[in-house]
Amino acid sequence: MKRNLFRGVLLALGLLWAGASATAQTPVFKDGKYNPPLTLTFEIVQGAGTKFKPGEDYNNNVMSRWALENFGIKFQVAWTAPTGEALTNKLRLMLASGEAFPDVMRVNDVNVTKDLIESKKAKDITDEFNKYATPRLKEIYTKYPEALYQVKKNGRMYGLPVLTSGNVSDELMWIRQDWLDKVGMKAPTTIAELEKVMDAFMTKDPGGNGKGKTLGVSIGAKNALATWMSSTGFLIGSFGGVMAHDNGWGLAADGKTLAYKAIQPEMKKVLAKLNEWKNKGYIDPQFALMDESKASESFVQGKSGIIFGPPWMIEWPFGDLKKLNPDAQPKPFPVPAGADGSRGRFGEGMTQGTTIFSPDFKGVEGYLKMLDRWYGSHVAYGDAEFQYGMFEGYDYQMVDGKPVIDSTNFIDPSMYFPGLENYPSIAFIEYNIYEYLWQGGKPRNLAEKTLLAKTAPEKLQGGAIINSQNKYNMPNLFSGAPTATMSKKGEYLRKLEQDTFAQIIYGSKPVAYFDEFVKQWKANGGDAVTKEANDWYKSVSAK
Amino acid sequence: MLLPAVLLALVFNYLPFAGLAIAFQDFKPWKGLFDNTWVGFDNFSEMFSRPDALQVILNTLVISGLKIVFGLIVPFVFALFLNEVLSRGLQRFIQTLVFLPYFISWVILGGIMIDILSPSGGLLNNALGVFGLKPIFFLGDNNWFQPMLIVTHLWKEFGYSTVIFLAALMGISPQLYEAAEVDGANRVQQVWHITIPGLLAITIVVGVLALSNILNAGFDQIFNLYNPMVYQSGDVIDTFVYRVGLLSGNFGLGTAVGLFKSLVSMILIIGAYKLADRFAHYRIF
Repeated sequence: MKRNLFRGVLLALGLLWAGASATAQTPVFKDGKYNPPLTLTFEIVQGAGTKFKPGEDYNNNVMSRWALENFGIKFQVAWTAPTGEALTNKLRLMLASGEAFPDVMRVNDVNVTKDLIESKKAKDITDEFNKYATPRLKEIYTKYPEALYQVKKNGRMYGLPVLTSGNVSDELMWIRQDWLDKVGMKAPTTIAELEKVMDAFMTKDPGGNGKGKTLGVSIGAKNALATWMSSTGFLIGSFGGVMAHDNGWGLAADGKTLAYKAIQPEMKKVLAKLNEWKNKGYIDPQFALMDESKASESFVQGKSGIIFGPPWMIEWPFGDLKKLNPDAQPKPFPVPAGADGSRGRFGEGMTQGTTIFSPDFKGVEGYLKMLDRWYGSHVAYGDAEFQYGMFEGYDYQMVDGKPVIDSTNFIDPSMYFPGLENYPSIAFIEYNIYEYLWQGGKPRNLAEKTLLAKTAPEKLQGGAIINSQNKYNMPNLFSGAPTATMSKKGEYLRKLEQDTFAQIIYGSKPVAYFDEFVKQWKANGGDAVTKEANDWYKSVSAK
Repeated sequence: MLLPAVLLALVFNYLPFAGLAIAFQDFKPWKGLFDNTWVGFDNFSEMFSRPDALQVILNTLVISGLKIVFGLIVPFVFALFLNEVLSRGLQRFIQTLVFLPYFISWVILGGIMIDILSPSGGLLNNALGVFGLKPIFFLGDNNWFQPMLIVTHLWKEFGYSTVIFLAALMGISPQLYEAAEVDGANRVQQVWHITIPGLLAITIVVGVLALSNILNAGFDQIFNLYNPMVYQSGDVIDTFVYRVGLLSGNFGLGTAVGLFKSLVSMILIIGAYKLADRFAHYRIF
């Protein structure tokens, strides 16, 4: 009832607005600006990490004022969702109910991207991209063809991929150096040494938690074993074999075909090891229910001294660790090696979703120009406008003429950017610069100088570690739209996998049951999925 | 005068029946009901070809069956005892107390339950620890998950039925008790021969009404408490439809399962109604 009333009011307002705008002229992009301003509606995730300055919101903030002033683009949020998952569900429901979509959409889910393109709810931007994208943007978006797999159909482009930095969220090992010093040990370089350190942390209790209150390692497996934080990717990688996420695709031994990670014999050893760790109390008994952030809490609260995740963890969530315990010294290290020297780590892959434009959206040209200018804030370019960061008073403050990051008042304006909701990213550049600077290289431009001045040394070191070990990166090599069998059987196969893994790790099924799982997986659609994934891989790698 | 009501029923109850066509289509929402590919009974054969189909149906029946049985017994017994409490004030107080959880949503209650039942520092496991018992992962153990569903469901819902039974108890004529007392019947005999027979009719009504829900094992509750570790014991038809139909976008398959569920429910309701009629001579219609 309330919603209907709300809708009625909206409709009335819409009619009024339509009447008013019929007389006004349509926005024209001229001299780099829309005149009159063009309204850009968008949806966005307003998560726990999204912060606003008092008095600011999505429609009025430092970013929206920047866009209005420079490009005549007026941001207007259509709706928000608390999590990426909720956003995906809302988009799915809108697809089903035929509601009108916002002008610019950030889409997290490959299925939804596929459905939007198939249902002609995604604008074909091929011509506009070719015509209006700057050389800089063209290079960024077309350098790695795999980044475009999701938005391309029959050679046309139906949106932009949301690029990652290729390895910014890859995994390394964080250890409390202060704990290592207390128990008189060195950082582990192998899984065997890691187990000794976990033992020492648990028995010698360097954190003063009391007997039996310390965990060996903080891991969370709600979404996947190998994931962007609180990851177990290092353990999967330490057994060698196919390198991919647990629920992703890697290259098979022949180096040519794709193989599904979760059914490889190495995974059996991973599960046996996790079962052992679970029984020894190294990991939280509830780790299967914990997502990435929840699992990291034990490390932040000083209840564990080891966690695997990306270098930026030093800013978040470790900011709170320093608040709780100023003496805490988390230090980054390479992922430990397995018995045969194998290493591997979670690789974030090339994309983290897509930016889709509604077919009626008239502002693609302006959006591309705005995006290009926004890319100037990337350290690889460091355009004068963004030489110290994004916006003063938000992501950095000026103290005595020098930029500093005030972690307690840190606000990330990139979270407001429609369709991107993130920093502008370029594959494999950022940590390359980190490595150069960490090894003592002189800053080559102002952006690097700023970076060096404001980045925590641990993050710089972490970036250097990640970049020097890019060969251990194990991204999911299947990045196309889901195949027919994946859409049909994917849910069952995933359930079978999650169920089996949980049963084996928690010991209600013996490790040998894994072989039965592989048989069932193959028989119930897995073989078909493998064939389709390989057909796809052949079709894209042939080009 | 009847026309508006008939019209409303037609629009809101019978028109949506057309949507059942989705069960026989490879449904893509943007194509509309008539332009989708018809696939006959493919969605149904897909449903039953899944190795977990039987388990999901069994889980649904066991969980909701136990909920119905205990959902009758517990409030029935509780109402009997509460009726014996002499102080009216105390009676009302307890009645309100047990009724309160009924109003808490499972979204909130789910979070509370997960905290209370947690194996690492949960209230219940801390209490068990005092007796030297090892922590139990109640919501992550296939042996414990179903009992936990029943218990938490009862705790939340039994106040509602208790109120119904109490109302029925008030309706029993005091003259019967007086006559029994004159005849020398003691308290227990009075309960056995007057109170329980007096409650039988309402028990059957509550029971038959509950039977219509036999294939609703309680989506709100299970969705907020379950996780991949307890799919074996906790995955029911509704959570299955949610994952397959909504999350994976297989609307055809989801609708087929829903249709199957409705058909079985209908048969069960008619059966239960006939049984109630035969054994208790009770007719609603």
